[in-house]
Amino acid sequence: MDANNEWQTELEVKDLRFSYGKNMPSLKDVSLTVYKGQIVGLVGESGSGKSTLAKCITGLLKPAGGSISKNDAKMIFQDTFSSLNPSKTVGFHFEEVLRLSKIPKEQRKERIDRILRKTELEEDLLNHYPSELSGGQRQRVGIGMALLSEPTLLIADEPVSALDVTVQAQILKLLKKLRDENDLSLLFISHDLRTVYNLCDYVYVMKNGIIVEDGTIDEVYFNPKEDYTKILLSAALDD
Amino acid sequence: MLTVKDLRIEFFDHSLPEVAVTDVDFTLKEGEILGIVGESGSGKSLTAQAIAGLMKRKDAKVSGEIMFDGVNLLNSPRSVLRSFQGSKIGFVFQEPLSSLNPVVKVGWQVEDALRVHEKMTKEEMKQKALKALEDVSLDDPERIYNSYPHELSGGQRQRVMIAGAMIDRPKLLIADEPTTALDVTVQAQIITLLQKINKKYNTAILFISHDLSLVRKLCGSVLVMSDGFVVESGPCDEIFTNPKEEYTKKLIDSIPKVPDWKTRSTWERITDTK
Amino acid sequence: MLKHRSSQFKIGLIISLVMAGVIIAGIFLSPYSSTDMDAASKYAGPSFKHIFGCDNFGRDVFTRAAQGAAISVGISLASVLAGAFIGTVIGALAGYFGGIFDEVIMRITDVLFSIPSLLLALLFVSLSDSKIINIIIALSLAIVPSFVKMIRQEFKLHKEMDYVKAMKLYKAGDFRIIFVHILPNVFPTLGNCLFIAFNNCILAEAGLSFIGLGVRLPLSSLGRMLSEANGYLSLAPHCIIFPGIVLILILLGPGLLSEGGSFYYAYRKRFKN
Repeated sequence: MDANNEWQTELEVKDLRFSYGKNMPSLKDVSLTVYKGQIVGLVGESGSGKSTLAKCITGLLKPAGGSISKNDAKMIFQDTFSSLNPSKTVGFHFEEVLRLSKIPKEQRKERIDRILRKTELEEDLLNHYPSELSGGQRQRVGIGMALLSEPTLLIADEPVSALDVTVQAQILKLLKKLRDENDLSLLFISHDLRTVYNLCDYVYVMKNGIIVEDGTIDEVYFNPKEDYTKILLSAALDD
Repeated sequence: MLTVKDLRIEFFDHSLPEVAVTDVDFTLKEGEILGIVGESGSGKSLTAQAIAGLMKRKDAKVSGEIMFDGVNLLNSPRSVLRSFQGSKIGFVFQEPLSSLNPVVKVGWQVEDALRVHEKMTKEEMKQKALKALEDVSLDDPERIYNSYPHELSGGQRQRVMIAGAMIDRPKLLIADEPTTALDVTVQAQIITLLQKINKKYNTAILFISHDLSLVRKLCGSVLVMSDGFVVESGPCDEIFTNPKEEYTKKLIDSIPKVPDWKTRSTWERITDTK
Repeated sequence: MLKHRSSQFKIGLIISLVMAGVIIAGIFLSPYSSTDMDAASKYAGPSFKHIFGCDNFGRDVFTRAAQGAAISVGISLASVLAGAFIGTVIGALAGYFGGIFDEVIMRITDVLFSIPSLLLALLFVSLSDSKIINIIIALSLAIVPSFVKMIRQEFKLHKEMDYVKAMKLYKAGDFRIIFVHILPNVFPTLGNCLFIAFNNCILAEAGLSFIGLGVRLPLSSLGRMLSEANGYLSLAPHCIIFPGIVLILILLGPGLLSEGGSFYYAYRKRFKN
C-alpha cells in the first residue's frame, strides 16, 4: 500500500464510537480512511451501522467518542421521495443550496445550468415538482444539489437501491463520471456487492457496528479472510 | 393448471383511463416455477394480484380470462374466490412487517387459512401451524408461534408469511417480490426455501421480482414485462443466454457483474446451511 | 372517488358564494335597516315586502339575519385566523424542536383540551365584558390547542424526512427549515383544519349569543335572533326558521368545501399520487 501514502487523505475516521437506545445500531471503534479521488465502498447488512456511520460523518449524529477529520461532507439519500421537498420545485431546490452557500444571485443561473449539464437533466425540469419526476431524475436532482455546494467528499447512502436496474446503471455511470471529472471522493454505502464491485476501488465490510474486513476490491472479493465476508459473497454472487 | 389469457387491467380513477396491463398470456403447469420480471410500473404485481383475486376494485376493470383448475377466477363471485384464496392459492407479499398484523400473535395468523377453509379443533390447528413453521426452517417453532411480529427479524417474518401461505398446501404460491426488503444472505435463504417447498410439495410458484439474478437462480421459465406488455417469455436459460428482444438485453446488461468470480476466487465457500 | 369529491367542492363553493351574496344584499341592498321598527308589521309572515317576515318589534328578519350573519362570519374569521396563526407557530416550534419546550407546550394544551372549548370561551367572556374583540380573543384561545396538536404532529413527521436532513447539511437555519421548507407541506392539513375551526367558531359564537353572552344590542347575531325568537315561537315561526336556515347554510358551505378538498386538489399533483 505504498502508493496510498502518496495520496492525500480526504477523510479519516478514527475509533468512532456511537451508542443510542436499542433501535439504532451502535458503532464500536470504527476506523476508516478515504483518499482523494477514491471511491470507497462500505458494505453490510441492515442493522450493521453503516447508515449510523454516514450520519456521524456528516454531523447529523453526534458520536460518543473518536475523531472525524472533516465534517462538511454532503450526502445523497436512498429514498428519492423523502429526500426532496414535495412542495418545492426542482429549481427551488438548486436555488436554495446556492442561497445557503451565499452565492450572489447573478452567478446562480450559470451554476445551475452547469449542474444540469453535469447531471444530464433537462432545463425545463426546473419548474417541475419532485412527484412529477421519475426516480432516476429525482436522484440526479439530489446529486446535483450536493454538487452545487462544491464538496470534495460525497457520502452516498444506498443511492440506487430504490431504483430500477436500468436506472441504477445510469446513476452509477454518472457517479463514476463525476469522480473522474471533479476529483471527487465518494463513500458509497450499499448492501449490493455486485454494484460495489463495479464502482469502488476499496471496500470496508461492516457487521454489528464493527469493521470486520477491509481491502482493495480484488483482495476482498477474490481472497476474503473473514467468514462473514465469505458468507456475504456467496449469498450475493453464487448462481 | 393456471392459464392466463388476454389479461387486461385498466384504471379509471383519473380523468383518462390508464391501461396498466395489456394482453398478458401464459400458462403455469403443476410444480413449475415461473418468474415475472420487470421494472416498476411494468404491471407485474398487478398481474399477480389479479390472479389472486385481489383486483376486485370499483376503479379498475379487469378483462380476459384467468383459468385455474377449470374455473375462470375473473368472473367468479366473491364466495368462489374465497374458496380459492388461501387454500388453493397462497400469497406472499413484499413487506413482511406490514402484511402481518402487529397486535396479533404470529401463530394465530399462520392458522388463518385453516380457520377459514377447514373445520378443525384448536389443537389440530396448532399442530398444523407448528409443522408449517418447522417446514419453513424456523428453529423453535413453539416460541415463534407465541411471539408477535415485531419480535422477529425480517427473514423470520417472511418465513412466517410463507408458512401461513403454505399451511393449507395450496397448488399455487404467488410470491410478489418476497425478498426485496431483505438482506442478501437472507434473500439467498428464502430462495433455497422456495426451492425446497417446490420440490417437497410440488407447489407451483409464481415468482415476481425485479431482480434478474434471483429469478435465474429459482425459476424454470420467465416472463419479461415492460409497460404492461409481455416483452419476451420462455425457458430461463434461453432468455438469459440468448435474449431476443432489445429490452431484455438492456435489462440483462444492466445487472452489475463480477466477471470470472467463480474461477478467480479460490477460497472455500461457506454457504449458510439453513 | 375524485369525481364525487369535485362535485362536493362545487356545491360547497356555490353555497358559500350564495351566502356571501345574501349577506351583502341584506346589508347594502335591503331598503330597511336592521334596527328599524315598524309596529304595523309585527310578527308579519314572509311576503314580497319582507321576504323573511318581521319579528316582535316589526324589524325585517332578512336584514337582521344578513347583518347578524355578517357579524358571526366576521367574528369567526377573525378568531380562526388569529387562533390558527398562533397555533401553527407554537405547534411548528414544538414539533420541530421537541425537548422540554415541546413537553411544556403539550401539557398546557392537554389542560386546555380537558376543558370544553365553549366553556372556556364562556368563562373568558363572562369575566371580561362582551365586546366583540373579547369574543374574538375567547374563541381564538379556544381553538389554539387543536391547531397546536395537528401542526405539531405534522412537523414531527416531516422533521425526520431526508429533505430536512439534507437542508441541515446545506447549513439552512432552523427557522428557515421550519417556515420555508416544512410549512408549505403542512398547508393541506392546515387548510382543512381552518374550515373545521371556522365552523366550530360559527357554532360557538351562535351558542354564546344564544345564552346572552354574545354581541351586545342593538347589533344582532344569528344566535341572538334564535334566542329572541324562542320566546314567540308559536306566534312567528318564520323568525326562527329563516335565521336557522341561514346558520345551517353558512356551516354547510365551508363543510363541503373542506370535504371536497380544495387544498387536496391544489396540492395533489405535488405529492405522491
